[in-house]
Amino acid sequence: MNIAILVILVGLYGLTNNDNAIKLMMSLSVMGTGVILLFVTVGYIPGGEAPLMTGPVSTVDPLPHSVMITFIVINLATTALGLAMILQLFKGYGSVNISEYFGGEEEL
Amino acid sequence: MKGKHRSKNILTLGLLCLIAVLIISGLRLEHQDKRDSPLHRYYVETYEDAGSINLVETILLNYRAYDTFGEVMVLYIAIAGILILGEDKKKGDVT
Amino acid sequence: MRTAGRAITPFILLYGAYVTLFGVLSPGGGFPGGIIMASGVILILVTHGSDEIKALVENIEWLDTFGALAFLVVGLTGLFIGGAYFTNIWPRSPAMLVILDVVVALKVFAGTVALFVYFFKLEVIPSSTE
Repeated sequence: MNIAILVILVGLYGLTNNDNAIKLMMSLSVMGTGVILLFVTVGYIPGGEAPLMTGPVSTVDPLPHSVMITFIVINLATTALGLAMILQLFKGYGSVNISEYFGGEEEL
Repeated sequence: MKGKHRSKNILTLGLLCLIAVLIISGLRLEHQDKRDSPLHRYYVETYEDAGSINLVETILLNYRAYDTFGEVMVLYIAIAGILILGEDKKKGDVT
Repeated sequence: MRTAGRAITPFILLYGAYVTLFGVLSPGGGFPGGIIMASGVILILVTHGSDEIKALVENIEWLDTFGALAFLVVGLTGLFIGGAYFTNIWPRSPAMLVILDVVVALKVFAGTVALFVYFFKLEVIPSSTE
């Protein structure tokens, strides 16, 4: 659980301390991985097995798994859309540095 | 330059506060026993209505098919947006 | 590399179909199956990239639209027969789950392949450097 929070925070750190737009998308992806890890950890029940009801077995909570399948696909869509937008920005500005999109000033 | 450093310091402070809050709430989540949760019991007891033994599939496509429909629509709209973004190559002058 | 891609791709497609169709009895389902099938097509696109395959794959967006509409149609069928959106038409039978699995797999497959075709076709030349 704490490792999942650590992965989220690594993504957050990369999100705040980067100027490269592609690195920002990578940080967002890392944050999504941390969220997946956190949800699957929350759904764990001690002694549980994979949620396949092949008999009277005790399973883990299946709800976070299905929510996370949804989240994976939405993460893919978000990343793809962001990268396409970055490509169009790169065509226009000739750079992937986000500080150049705001007139090239240093102040954020 | 100076303002950037100050904003970065404030961000780091906020990150530290967020670490504390998240770890404390995470430790609290870890000690809950979810075996007696009514939602979990409902899924485990009524999975036979859908005819599948894969509980994740059952939830994804039977109990919460409306959510899955929204997800499919998100994927569709994202791909449509990407294809639309690539359309106007001739007038690429953004500024 | 080309020979390996040609040899492996049918098996990847078969495995994707297996994961899709047996998603109700084993781990798997529509989303992983669609992604696996798309990875097979992307492999043969990368290794060969011949014009025939590109022409075959170029208009795959209609399959994307078809998948979204088919999902909607299945939901509306449940609405009209069972009284609620996405009602299970055949109780205690996995037929509806299999249908939805196949629809979702087609949708994800078409969407991912369309994405990769779009990113392959791009030529990125910044206009400010000219």
